[in-house]
Amino acid sequence: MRMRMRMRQRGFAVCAVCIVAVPATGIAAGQVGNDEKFVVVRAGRVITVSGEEYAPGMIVIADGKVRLVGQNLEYPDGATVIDARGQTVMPGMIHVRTRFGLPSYNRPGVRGDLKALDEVVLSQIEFEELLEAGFTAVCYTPFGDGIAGVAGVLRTGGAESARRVKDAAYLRVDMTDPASDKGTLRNALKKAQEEIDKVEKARQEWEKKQKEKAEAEKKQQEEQQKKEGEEPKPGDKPAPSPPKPEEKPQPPKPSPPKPGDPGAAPPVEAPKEGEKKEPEQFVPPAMDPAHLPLIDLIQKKYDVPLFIELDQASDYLHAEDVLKPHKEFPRVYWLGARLPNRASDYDYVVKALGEKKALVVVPPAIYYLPLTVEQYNLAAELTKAGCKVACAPWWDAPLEFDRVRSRLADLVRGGLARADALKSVTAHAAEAAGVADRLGTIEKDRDADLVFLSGDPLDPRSEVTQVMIGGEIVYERKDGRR
Amino acid sequence: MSARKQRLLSGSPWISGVAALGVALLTAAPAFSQPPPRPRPGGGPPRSAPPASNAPAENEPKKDDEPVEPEKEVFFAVKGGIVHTVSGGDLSGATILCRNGRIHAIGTGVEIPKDAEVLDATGYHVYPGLVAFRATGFHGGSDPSDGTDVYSLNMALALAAGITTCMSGDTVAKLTFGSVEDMIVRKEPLVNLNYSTRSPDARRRLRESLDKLVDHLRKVEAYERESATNKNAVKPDDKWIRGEAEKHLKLLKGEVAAEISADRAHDLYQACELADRYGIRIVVRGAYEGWTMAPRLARSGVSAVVTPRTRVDLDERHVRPTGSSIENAAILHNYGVRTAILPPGLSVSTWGVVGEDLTHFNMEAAFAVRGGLPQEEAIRGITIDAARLLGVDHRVGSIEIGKDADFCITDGDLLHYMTLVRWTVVNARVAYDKQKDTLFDHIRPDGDRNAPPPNDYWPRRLGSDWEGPPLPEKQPQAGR
Amino acid sequence: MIRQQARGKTRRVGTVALVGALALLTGVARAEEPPKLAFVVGKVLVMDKADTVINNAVVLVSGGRIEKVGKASDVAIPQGYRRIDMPRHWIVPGFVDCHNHTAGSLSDLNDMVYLTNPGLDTLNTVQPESDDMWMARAGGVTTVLLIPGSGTNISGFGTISKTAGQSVSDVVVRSPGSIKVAQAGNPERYWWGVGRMFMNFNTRQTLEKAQAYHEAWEKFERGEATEKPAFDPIFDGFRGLFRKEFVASVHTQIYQVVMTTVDMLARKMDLRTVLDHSEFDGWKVAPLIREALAAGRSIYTIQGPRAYHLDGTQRKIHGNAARWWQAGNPLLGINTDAPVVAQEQLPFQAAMGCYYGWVPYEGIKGLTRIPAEALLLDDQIGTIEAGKQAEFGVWTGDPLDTRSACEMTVIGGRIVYDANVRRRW
Repeated sequence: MRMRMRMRQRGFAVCAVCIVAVPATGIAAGQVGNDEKFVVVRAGRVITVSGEEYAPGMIVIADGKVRLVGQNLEYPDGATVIDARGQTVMPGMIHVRTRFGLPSYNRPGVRGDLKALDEVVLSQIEFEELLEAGFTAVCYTPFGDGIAGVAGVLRTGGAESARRVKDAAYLRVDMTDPASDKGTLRNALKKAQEEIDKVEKARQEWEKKQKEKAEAEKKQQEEQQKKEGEEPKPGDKPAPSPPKPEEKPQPPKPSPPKPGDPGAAPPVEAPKEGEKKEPEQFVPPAMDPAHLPLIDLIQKKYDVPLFIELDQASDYLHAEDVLKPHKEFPRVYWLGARLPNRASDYDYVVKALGEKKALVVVPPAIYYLPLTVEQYNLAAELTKAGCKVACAPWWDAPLEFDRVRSRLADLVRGGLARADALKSVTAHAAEAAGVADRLGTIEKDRDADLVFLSGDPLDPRSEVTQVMIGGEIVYERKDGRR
Repeated sequence: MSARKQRLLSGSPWISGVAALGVALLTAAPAFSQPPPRPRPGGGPPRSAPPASNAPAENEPKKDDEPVEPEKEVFFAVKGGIVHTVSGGDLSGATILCRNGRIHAIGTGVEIPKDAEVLDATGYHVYPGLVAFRATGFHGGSDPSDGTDVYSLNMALALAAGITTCMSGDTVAKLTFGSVEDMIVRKEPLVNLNYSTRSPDARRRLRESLDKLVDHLRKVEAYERESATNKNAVKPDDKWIRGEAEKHLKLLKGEVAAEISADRAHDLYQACELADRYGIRIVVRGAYEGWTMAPRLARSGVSAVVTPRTRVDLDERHVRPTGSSIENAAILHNYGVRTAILPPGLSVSTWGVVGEDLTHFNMEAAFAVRGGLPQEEAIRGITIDAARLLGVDHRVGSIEIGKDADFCITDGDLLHYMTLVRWTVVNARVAYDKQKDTLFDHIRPDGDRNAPPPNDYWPRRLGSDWEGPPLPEKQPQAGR
Repeated sequence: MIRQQARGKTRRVGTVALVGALALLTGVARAEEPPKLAFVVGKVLVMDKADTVINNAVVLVSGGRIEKVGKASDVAIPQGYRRIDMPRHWIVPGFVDCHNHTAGSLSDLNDMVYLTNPGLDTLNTVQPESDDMWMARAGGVTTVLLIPGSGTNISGFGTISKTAGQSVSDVVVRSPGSIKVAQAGNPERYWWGVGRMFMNFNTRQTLEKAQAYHEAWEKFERGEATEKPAFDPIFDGFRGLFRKEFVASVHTQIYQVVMTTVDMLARKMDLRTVLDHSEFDGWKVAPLIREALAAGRSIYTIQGPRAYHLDGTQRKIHGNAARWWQAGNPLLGINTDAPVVAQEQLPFQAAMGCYYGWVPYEGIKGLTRIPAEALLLDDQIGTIEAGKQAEFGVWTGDPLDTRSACEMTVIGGRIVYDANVRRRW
């Protein structure tokens, strides 16, 4: 069954090298099911990002996931072998903040119910441009002043069914104009808390009602018993009383409606879930879907972090000021730049960001300190201070995607460690997009989303020759095309 | 000031430790309305809790389950400087100890706690942070604590001029470089009124509004009297008091003062009449003909914000004295008009023509001295008197126990043209350090007049053989 | 009243008639001899090359000139002198502003007819006894060079003028007093398409034509040529420039432009050059100026009204005067470009120069002796020495100190401002 699906997908793939795989029989790599599909990459160099580099290196891929990385690995007889011995293989790059191919319009206010991925029509976007530059995943970001919506991660190629990696990567919060954005966020947090309080109040009322009901029932029973004239036995307990709130026997959590359908009625679970005996399941009142991501954060569900966009150092202080009562919220910062002439005053807050070991996304650019000709390698300084730095192209143009590697090379020349530069577009980018468990490194059980390069990734001469997504080659450079 | 207090402040050696701690430097009662009393250190809630009504934190959800941390005491001390308290004389070599952002003790023998951050100002002059009655370009947004770029060049330049507090828009706010905490001092301390003779319509509307409110207040008073005996007394309707009228009511109740832009004598007369008729406090801004009618202004209790340098030539069509006078501030002061000083430009500019805006705030006070105002009074005009007109003199404007730890520490007499600000302290935090900021660090570092100039940046194509020339021989010095 | 009359005339009548009519008035005014005055003061800043400062001094003034300066113990006050006792005050030479527009009518600031307008003359715009001039002397400013604006590359001749006097001939010290050249940084706005290349070409060729005219006449006057050159009213006024009787006052700023000025006017054409403004990073040209000075050229740097330059390469504020001084340019003065900075604030401009790193004594020198030398007036004014014109201010202290006031101003031996009568500044 699974095989057949794969076969069908292959038909859609852009791939030209894919060879029909034969289920492996001789298994070298341990506990593998019989119907697994193996692909083996032999490369001149494998940059795992997470650890060692192997030169030459080998990657054994089973069912689209990396099974083994190293040198001289064994693999099943029937595995497809991709010979890339003159090439370098690294994890696919991830674009953490993009609107590529999407219309850009402003959605002011609080729109936590919006998901950027809902805007994406796959056929309308030239993913080839991203593949060509070595990006295997992009994180689509909703734009707008205030809290514009939830970003989602998409693969740039491969089977359509496997394109969506994550629906809710982060909640984008604009803080580039704190004069208004601070108020937006402050009020949104307040409103989210009000929603929580609203549900809590409803629950308390419901419980109180239940209690009253139970007591009434009890009384009735007692009266009935009395009426029946039977003296109650001392061991007989009265009817089971409803659980007291302090005991919290699995308080029915308000299950948030899927933000995908914001207008959806609150889920009425009670009737579905049986227990017809106890139909008085608590039905929480509907919460404002636009504030749900914030409500989750306040309720300590930290799946979707905040992605706070800044323009200058001062914005960081303002963001921290609003979030002062919410220190524990997970957050990612985007350090954009508004000042002219590539001037950046983030130097003022680099130390503070470093002390927090913040996860920071920056454009891969050398800046100048304001009003000087002193170059400032923001990525390097942040790394030195203790931050995890991810880099995202400065703007969404194919040329800029192409330039990312050479810009990274500039950063390395300016003092950023090579390993950090590579991580900034792979491992750290995956972390910023909340997909570090699947993407960003070449490790066991990570997706086999790989980029093949003709040389070192930081050498501007080297080109992306092939791109693999989910164990299949989805892009191959055609001669003459560049 | 009483003789006793004078003695205490004179810095004589017997002042030490405990004695100095006891010296409460609270002097003259503030003339203008006090906003709701703020908690004081030592007994009140912690300093870190933002002040009263305008605190943004109040809007935030409070978490009851969070453990309340015991207040952490943070000490900051400025020692060794020549302290110009402004409100109570000078103390040479005194230590100012600040606790949680407020001045805790002043004196020569004050013991500095071990963990205190100490600023050694030996040989420097310590003034209270300067207060600009009005400024633009230092803060941003309608709420400065939300919209301000706290790393802006403008703010750095203003701090380099010694300014720590100013009114931006309708908010009195601090220049908290590098911090957004404790920025707001007071919101809407003044109501802006248009009472110019050039707009008779506006004048009529204002009087109507005030008359109506006066009538309302009378009714309220009558109701209060009547309701003591009569239970059926009807409370006068006050739902209509919104917007402008609400502000005017505050004015009549004396909660705030009015700010009127008035320059010429007849506009100033009108302001006086308004003050007399409704018993409101008025601050006139401009007032270049104030010197021609200072006694009248004094009689009506009108205060003035003046620019001593203003130059308006005399109008020969009038028999009475007209035009501006360099003696304006001095004459107003002599007649007892409380006077704050502002330069012609209310921002900082970077286009190079200097001395006319807040970059050289102190120089405007010096011009007032040129016109005959005593030096101490001129300094008050850019510190405590400006703070008083803004109704924030309980927090800023002088160096007194209990006040905010805002200092402007200079390398000389504040009103001398060569004086540079060495440090500016805001909320017991060094917000500007001349030798750490690049802007002025090359100008007389440590007072060295012959320090070499910084190297120039030359585009690479011009080569490096344009070496700096040798310095000229030592020059004869004059003046100082 | 006389003041009003004079004003009315300036407005109504043409130049020739004006000068004639005012000559009458002047005759009346001149009839009265300047008084004999004896100032007894605390300090005299002589401002001579020996940097003399005399404490507890007496300055005798008679016939419009300084008769004697010396210690009170050495100078006896003869009979017939009005004794003015100001024992705590300082006498400082009258300040000279090399870049002024307010001694004339501001509406005639810029006659932007051509991109170079040789032949135009600010003498026609002089306005004695205006309020601006009143304030000027209240600020201790006694001599100004009235020049046209910088709307065109050559905008006309400047006029050296006193700040007190009831008629044009009363106030005018020398006309032409300079030729105003605007190297760049304003004339571009004359018309689109005008840039530095064309402006420099245009300025140079205009001056070269004038030079050729002057040389033709020189040749004729020396008898080396027989044919009398044709009289040209446009270039005739320039002869004094090439005879070095007056200077070229140049609107110039930014190092590249200052460099052009130094090279074109001072080094190549050997004109007496006064660099006005010299702002932004103009100080970088100082080595070139030192070299030119060593080669016998005359270049004065009169800095202002921008007192500092915000350096966008290293986030620093450079005091322009300080940087010129530190770069070893000894001939450094200060101007206001009034009305850009009010005329009476000339000493305040120097004070601001000091705030940004200059030194006070140099600052005072840059208001007195240096600009007097620059305008070729150093035999008349600029110092307090016997024989020179009695032109000075009596100050309450250091004249650069904003708190000091000028209590009395003397021009041509007359007290033209007395703060006790009415204080203006």
